[in-house]
Amino acid sequence: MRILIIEDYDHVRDALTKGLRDAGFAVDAVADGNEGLWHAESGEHDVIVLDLMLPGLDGLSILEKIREKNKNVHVLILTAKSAVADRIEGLNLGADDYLVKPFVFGELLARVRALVRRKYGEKNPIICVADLLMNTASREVTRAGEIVDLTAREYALLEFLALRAGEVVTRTAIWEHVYDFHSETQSNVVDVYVSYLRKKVDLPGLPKLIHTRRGQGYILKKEPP
Amino acid sequence: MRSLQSRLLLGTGTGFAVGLLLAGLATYFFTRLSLYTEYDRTLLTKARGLAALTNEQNDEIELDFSDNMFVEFVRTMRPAYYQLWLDDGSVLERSERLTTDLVRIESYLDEPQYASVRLPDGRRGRQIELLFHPRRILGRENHPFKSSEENIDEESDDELSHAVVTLVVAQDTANVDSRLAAFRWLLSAVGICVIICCMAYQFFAVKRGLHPLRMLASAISDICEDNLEERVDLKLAPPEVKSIIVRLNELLARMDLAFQRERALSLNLAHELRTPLAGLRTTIEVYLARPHENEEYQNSLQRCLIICQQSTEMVESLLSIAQFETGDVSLNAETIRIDTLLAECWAPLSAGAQEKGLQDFWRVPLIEIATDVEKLRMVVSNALRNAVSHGDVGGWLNVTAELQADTVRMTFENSGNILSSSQVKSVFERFWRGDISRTKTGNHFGLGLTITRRLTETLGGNVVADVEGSVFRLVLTLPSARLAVVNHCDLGRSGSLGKRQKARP
Repeated sequence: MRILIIEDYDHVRDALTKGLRDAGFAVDAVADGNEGLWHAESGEHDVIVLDLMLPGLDGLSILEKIREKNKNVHVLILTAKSAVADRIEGLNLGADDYLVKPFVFGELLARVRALVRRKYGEKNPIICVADLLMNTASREVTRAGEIVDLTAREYALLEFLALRAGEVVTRTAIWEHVYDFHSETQSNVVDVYVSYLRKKVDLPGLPKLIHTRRGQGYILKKEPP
Repeated sequence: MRSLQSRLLLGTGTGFAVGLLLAGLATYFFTRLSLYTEYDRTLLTKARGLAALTNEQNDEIELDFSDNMFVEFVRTMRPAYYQLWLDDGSVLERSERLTTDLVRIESYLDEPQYASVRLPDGRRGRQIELLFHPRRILGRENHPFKSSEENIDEESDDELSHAVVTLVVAQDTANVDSRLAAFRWLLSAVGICVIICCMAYQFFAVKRGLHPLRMLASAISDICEDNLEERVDLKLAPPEVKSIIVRLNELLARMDLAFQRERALSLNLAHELRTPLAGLRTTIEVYLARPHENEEYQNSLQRCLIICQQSTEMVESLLSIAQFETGDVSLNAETIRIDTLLAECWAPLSAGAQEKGLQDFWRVPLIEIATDVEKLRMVVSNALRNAVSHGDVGGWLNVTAELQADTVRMTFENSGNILSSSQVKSVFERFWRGDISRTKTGNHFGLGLTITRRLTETLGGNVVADVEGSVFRLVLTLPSARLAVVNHCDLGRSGSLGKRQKARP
């Protein structure tokens, strides 16, 4: 899943970026309001973590502009402004969640994951595709009752496919939602990681769940025999 | 402090009582005078009557009347008295009831004298003393018309005797006194009743009159720290206290502003502290969430340290401001050249200025100043830092110093100003930042100019800020400088203030 962090305070931004990447998210982070708006409008992010007091353009203005363009992205406001009036204003302008600084990182992570699930219409933290179980809260994956050990990137990829189980997901979509632009080049990285995933998920003797749709992308589903 | 009500009651009551008393006394004494004047007239009439009956005949003066003609002289109850003396002092006649001599007072012919006396029997009385020439009665044989028996009246004679007779008539003033006493009682009773009624009315009137003040007091007591935006309605104020209410409302406005600033300060402080705390906490939690390499741990600790240092800076700034405001500061006077000070303060900022492409202009004569150099250094550093950080990229900053009488005036100007003239009044407020969009969190707390102002005032000077279009200007005025040499300093390339610059036109 791809997260956009718009936060001008270096230390918070850097810590959040690292923490979310460690949790398997692809993260874009900017420090300026105008730059943040550009990324929000042009990118395909699942969640935006938005500070309010920003240089260039303040957070509430960014939020208003995002909603005016009907961008389907969840916004979590992260701010030191804790007054009820501020929370009401933020939520009324279209924010999906509001977290006050200082915050517990684990809580922010849980809220981001909840927003990600909500975006894909998944309320249950446990995603089930055939005998594949993904606990998005604990990040535990089992196949046929056996734990599947995945890297953070592999988990992120599998989660993205699982949240859109039964749908064809294009390589571009996978690239945009799962991978960091700064750290990786597109080339065939998606195909490479899908093959890694297949080796761990589609074990011999078990029905294949990850299927290729030639010229389209990939789909996670239990194919009928 | 006595209440207004008691003051008014006491003042008006006393005034009224004194006025009433004076009026009463005047009335009483006027009445007394009138009564006694009337009484004296009756005495005079009586005395003249007696004098008219005193005749000289055949060289003898006699009183030609009987006591029965004047009953008051013969009665036993409260008799009146009379006594006559000849001019040799011998007693000519006295009334029947008079046992001792009446008191004589100095009197003059045809000028009756009156006196209040004690009668021989102890009664209070009034007497008249009259000096007169008795009428001389001529006998028939001496009458110039004696030959004629017609129309000769023995007493029809205009000639007066040469003898002088003193007549004193005295009688008691019991009637007058009793009337006066009754009048006194009446006056007193009426006066007391009037005073009581008036005081009662006054109490009511004063209480009613002070009602607007009570209403005002009630309106004022409804205002507390939670509703300082309220004002006392001027319609409640009588004209006499309107100016007080106007001042009170002005005071409330200032207090409201002060409380708003305090609330804003608390909010700002909380906000400014929350963000570094969030940075600290998130950094620690992220690095504790999973294992990392030593180098990564070191980096995280370094970040935490930087955050702590930034927070410490902010807290120290706030503490300094608090100390300056409470006067808890000691000053050490030293002498320093202004150009040297400016150069020292500019040195750490010049790199940042160059990065922004700022052109710097200096016009600094050789002026020495005796002051607390460390504090002045903070002031100048803040001013320069402000100019550099708020100057626009490719802009300029201009620093001038001049000596004016006993003060040194330093002016710091920079381009790139975006503040309006109404906003510039707020630049010295704590945590105020003109445009949050120009300053990243963590870079500026909005305390620099607050400290500048407090420090400058502590040094006995003042600082003002103003704007002129895109130019922001900070003017520091400090007391007392000794002028060493009034020359524009030649800085040179290696000079402490960098390359030589002409003064900005």
